Amino acid sequence: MASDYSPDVRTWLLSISGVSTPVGTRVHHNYVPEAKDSPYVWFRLGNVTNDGRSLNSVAGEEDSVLSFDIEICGNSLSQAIGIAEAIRDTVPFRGSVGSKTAQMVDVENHDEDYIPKNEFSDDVRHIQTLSLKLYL
Amino acid sequence: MAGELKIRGYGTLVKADFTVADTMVTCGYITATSPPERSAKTVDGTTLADNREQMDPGIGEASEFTFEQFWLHNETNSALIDTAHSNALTRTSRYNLTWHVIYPQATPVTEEFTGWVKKIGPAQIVNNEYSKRTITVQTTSTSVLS
Repeated sequence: MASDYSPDVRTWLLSISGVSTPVGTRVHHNYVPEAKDSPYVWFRLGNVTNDGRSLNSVAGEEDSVLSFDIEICGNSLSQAIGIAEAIRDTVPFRGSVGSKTAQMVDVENHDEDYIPKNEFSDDVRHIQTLSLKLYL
Repeated sequence: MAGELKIRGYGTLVKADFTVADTMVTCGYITATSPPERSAKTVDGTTLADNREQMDPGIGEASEFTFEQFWLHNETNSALIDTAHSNALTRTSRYNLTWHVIYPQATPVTEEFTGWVKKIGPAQIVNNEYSKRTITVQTTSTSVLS
């Protein structure tokens, strides 16, 4: 059965000290709360692929690759880069992601044409964008 | 569904009587299959008087049947294939199996033939892809569709 991995990805991100130390618990899924202290990490589920399908797969079979968009919003460029580096240094990873298990977690920089969703005000934001792939 | 003139692969089943004659067991985790060709050899019947080659139909060719399967050692679906191949090498127990490829038409169509597991070819193991293997079955009879 297909599962929501978002809470597990949040738990996994917060388990990285290079993330949790600067951001505290400010890892936000899909939306940014109004009282938005920086730095924070925002993420959402992006693409889902199903290369694990077989000719007789059944309805509700677990998806096989989940891609999450991650945006790191820092008070300075070096802070944002530092948090992104901490995530990159944790992959490739195999094992528990929150309460679930992943065969591999990997991270790539986002495409050049990716438009950050957290650039929504006149404030200057230092944003690093990553694409996190969860291989089930 | 009814009245479809083109079908997709999803829902296609591959079965074989691995352990008990005529008891067909579905092979799981198959991602692609190439049913056996129906092909004949040609016999050269050209004479000195001909100004074009005369190629006549010969005997039916022993074609191969292949399918690709996710692989997990000792998992039931993989183990059935391993045993069938081992039996073929030693020609013991059941090795010349009856195979069914069932096409997912509105009224399913079954292609039946016999054959033995000739080759188990593991695919290249890649970091972020599922491990698979390609199974080759040497057919020992002509396919019959019903």
